[in-house]
Amino acid sequence: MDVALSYAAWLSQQTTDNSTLQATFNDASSVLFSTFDHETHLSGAEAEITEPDVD
Amino acid sequence: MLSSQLLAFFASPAEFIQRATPQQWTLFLQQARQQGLTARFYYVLQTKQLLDQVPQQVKLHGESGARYAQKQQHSLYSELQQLEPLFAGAGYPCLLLKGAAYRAQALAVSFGRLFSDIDILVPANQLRHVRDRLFFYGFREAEMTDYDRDYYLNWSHQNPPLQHYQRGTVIDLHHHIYPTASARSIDITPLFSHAVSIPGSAFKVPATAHLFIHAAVHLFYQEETHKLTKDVIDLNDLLLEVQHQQQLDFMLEQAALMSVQSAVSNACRVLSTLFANGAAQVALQSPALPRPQPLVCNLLLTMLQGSVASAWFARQLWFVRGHSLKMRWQVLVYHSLAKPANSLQRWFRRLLPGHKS
Amino acid sequence: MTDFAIHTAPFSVLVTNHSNKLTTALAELYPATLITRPNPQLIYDFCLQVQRKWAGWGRPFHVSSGDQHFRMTDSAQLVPVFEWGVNWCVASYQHQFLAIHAAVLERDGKALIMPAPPGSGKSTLCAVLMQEGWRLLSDEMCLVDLTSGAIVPYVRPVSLKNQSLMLLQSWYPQAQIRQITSGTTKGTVGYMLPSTQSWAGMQQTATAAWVIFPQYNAAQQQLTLSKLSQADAFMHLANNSFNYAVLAEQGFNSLSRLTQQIDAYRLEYACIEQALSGLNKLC
Repeated sequence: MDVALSYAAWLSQQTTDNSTLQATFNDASSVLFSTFDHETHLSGAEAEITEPDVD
Repeated sequence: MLSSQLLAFFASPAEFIQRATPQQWTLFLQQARQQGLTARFYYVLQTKQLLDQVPQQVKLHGESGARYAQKQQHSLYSELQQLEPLFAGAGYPCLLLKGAAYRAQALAVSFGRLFSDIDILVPANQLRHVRDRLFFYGFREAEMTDYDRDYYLNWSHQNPPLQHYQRGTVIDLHHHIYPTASARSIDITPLFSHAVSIPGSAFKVPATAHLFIHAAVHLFYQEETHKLTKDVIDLNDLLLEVQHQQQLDFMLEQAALMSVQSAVSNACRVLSTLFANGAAQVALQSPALPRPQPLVCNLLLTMLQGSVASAWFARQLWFVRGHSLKMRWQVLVYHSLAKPANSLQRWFRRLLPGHKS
Repeated sequence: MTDFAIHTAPFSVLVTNHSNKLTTALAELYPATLITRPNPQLIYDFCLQVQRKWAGWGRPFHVSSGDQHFRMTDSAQLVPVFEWGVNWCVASYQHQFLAIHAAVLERDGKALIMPAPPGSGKSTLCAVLMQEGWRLLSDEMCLVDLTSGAIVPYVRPVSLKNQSLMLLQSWYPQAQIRQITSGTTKGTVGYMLPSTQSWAGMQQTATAAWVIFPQYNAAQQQLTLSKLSQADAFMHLANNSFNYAVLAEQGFNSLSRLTQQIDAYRLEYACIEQALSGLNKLC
C-alpha cells in the first residue's frame, strides 16, 4: 500500500478499482485475494483466512 | 542517551549516514526497534532519496518495518470504514486524534509511524451515547475494578479502552485532550470548530495546528516517558507540517486561546535544541509566546540526552511533576487515599464468608 | 563479561553475556567460525542480553533485547532459553521474507518443505532426513525471499524434545546430540548438530519442489500418501505462516509463486521407515 495514500483517497479507490487477485495453478485449482479486506479464499469457497487483529 | 543514535539520525539524516560506524548502526537498529521507529527511518531515507547510501542490512531492516507499517495502514483504513455507519448519522463531530488523524491525512509524520489504538474525540455530553453504540458494534471494555472505571470516566479524559471482540481493535474514546481533573482548564471547543472534514467519511480531523498543540500538551503535561524519543520526533515532524501548511501564526493564536502556551513554548525550545527545527526558532521569536521554562526543558533534554544516572533522576522528577500537573492537590490526595482504601475494602470483602472467587 | 556474536545467516546476533557456561555450551552447538568476539567493523542485526539483574551467584539470568524482556531462567536452563530467545528476537522483524513455520531440507537443489503443528512428528522426520543425507535449511522456519522466491536457509542446531530425542538416539547412536536439558517448559530438550554439509551450505538457497504435511498416526497400518490440490496446499501454507497476513498482497504473490513450483502431499505414517521409504520414492 502506498504510504502517501490518504484515507479519503483509499475510500474512493474502493469504488473504482478491481479488488481481487487470482492465482491459478498448474492443476487448475485457484485462490483469490481481496486487496480491500485482505482475505484469502479458495476459488468458489467460503473465506478461510481471516484478518488478524490490529496490533 | 539511550536513544542517542536515533536523535542524531532524525536531526540530520544525511549527516548521520555519512559518518555512522558499523557499531553505531548496530545500536541504531536496536534503538529503532525499541521505539517502533524502524519503518519511520526507512521512509525518511526514501523521501530524502538516501536509501542507496545506507548499508544493505540497514535497508533490509527498514523494508521489513515498512511492510509492517503498510499493513497497519490498511488495518486502520479498513477499521475506520467499518465504523463509518456508526458515526454517519451522528449529529455531532467525531474527530480522529493522534496517529489515526496523521495517517488518515497521509501527513509526512505518519509515514511508517506505528500505532496501537484508534483515538477518537467526541463532545463530552455525547461520550456515553457513542460508547453505547460501540457496544452495539461489538466493542467492549476490559474487566476492571469499579474504582478504575470511575477513575477513567470521572477523572481522566477518556472512556476505558474499548476493544472489538473479534478484530481486537482498540478504540480510545476521548471527551477531552487533557484530564478534566486538572486545575488547568483547557478549552477544546476550537478543536471542534476548526476541524477538517475527510471527503467521503463521517470522521473529521483537527487542524494540523491543533494536532501539534495536542501532542505538545501530551508531552509536557503527562508523566509517561517510555516513548519519549518517538514523541519528540513526532512533535518535530508535526511542527514542520504546521509551518508547511502556513498555520504557524494560527497555532500560536490557538495556543493562547486554549491557555497552553507554556507547553507550546517549551516544545519549541526542545525542538530547536534537538533538531534545529526552523519553525520552532521562528515561533520562539514571536512576542505571542511566553519564554520557555528552563527547568522543564532541561529536565526533558536530560531524559533524552543525559547520562544513565542523570536521565534516571530526571525521569523521577518528571513523574512527580506530571502527576501534580494532572490533578489538583485535593484530587491527588483523594486518590492517594481512596485507591488503597478501595483495595483494602475488596480484600476484606473476599475474606467474608459466602463470598465467591 | 564474555560478549560474543553469532553469525547464523541471514541474521547475526550480538550477545551481551554474563555467563561463562553459555559460552562453553554454545561452542558445542555452533562451529567455531560462527561464534566470534564482537567485531566493531560489522553491523549486527539483533542484540540480546544475558545477564543477572542484581549481581550475585544464584540469581536468575534475564534474557532480553534492549528494554524488551524475554524470559528469566536459572543457569541450568540457560541454553534452551537462549536459543528460544534468539528465535523470539528474530520472529517479529523478518518481513523481508515470507516466513512459514516448517522444516526445510534440500537434495539436488530442490527443497522439501514440511509445515506441521507440534505433535505431527515434523522435527523427528526432519532430523531423520538430515541423518539420511538431506541438507538441512531449517528445522522450523522456512524463509522465502520475496524478490527471488528462493528458499533461504537459517541453519541452527535442531531442537528435539522428549520422546523424539530418545528415538533419534536409538536410531542413530552416532548422531551428535548435545546440551540435553530436562525440566524446561517444553520438557526435556536437546540439540542435534546440523550435518557438515548443512553448515557448509548455510548461505546456499534452494528451489521449492515438494510440500509434505506429515502426520504421525500410531494406528496406521500402512503409509498413506495423498496428493493435495495446489490451492489447498496454498491455504495450508498460509495458515502456517508467521507473517502471510502482514505481507498482504506481497504475501499472496510470493506464496502463489511458491505454490506453482510444488507438488503437495499429506503423509500419514505409523513408523519412520515407512515414512522414509515413501519420501525417497516421491522425491
